[in-house]
Amino acid sequence: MTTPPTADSDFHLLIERTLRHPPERVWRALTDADEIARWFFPILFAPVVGHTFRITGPAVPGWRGWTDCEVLTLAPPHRMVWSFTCTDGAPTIVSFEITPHPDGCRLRIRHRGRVPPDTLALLDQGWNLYADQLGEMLADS
Amino acid sequence: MARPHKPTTETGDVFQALADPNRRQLLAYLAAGERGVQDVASYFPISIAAVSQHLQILHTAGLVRRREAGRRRLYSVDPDGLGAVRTWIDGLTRFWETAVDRLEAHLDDDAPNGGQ
Repeated sequence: MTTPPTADSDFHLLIERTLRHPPERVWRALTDADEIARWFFPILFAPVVGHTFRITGPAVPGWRGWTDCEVLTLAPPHRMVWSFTCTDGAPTIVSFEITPHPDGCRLRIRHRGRVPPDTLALLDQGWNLYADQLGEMLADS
Repeated sequence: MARPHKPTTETGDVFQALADPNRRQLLAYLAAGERGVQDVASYFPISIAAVSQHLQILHTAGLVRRREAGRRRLYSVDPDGLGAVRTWIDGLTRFWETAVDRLEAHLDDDAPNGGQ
């Protein structure tokens, strides 16, 4: 699910899932290195603010083969935030939020970041409109 | 498992190409139609050499197309190039969806009695 961007250069992804497990169990799966390796990647993770780790894999078209991360926030068993640098551009931010739910818990993963200014506007507005706006801007300057 | 995707071609990076405001203006100018290097250079207050370099970067990143017409080299927008940015964002969504699928399967496997 993609929510409307807050600015034309922001993207904001939200993945939500209800899990039939208590928050403490999900928290352990998210923060214990052995558990992480069983569903995510075999990373050298430590649940410590400031800890850095790298996700690596074979480079494929579209991915350079590594993503550098840092633990920014830890609030057991509810919230964890990573910086997530998967391109040569600015770091993006990934947060994991666990809230109680009658069936177990609700997990929300948010991924926020920026792309170069106007890029999403270019995509959304279409080329011709953008060209018109540029023409007007240049005419005014 | 899905990987976090970056919108690259073989050698070019769409984000790097778009990071420069001059190049975004060149791109928007070309959106109006196919143009030669001279046309572009006469429209923008930068040298032909600089225009050529910017166009080369846009071309490598897959944002513009290039063709030879006699002795002229003509550039036009490649709409698929910008689409790569959207594809990259969609790829990130799939990456996390896949991760959560695997997390859920792991938790369920680990708790045969219903998760508690």
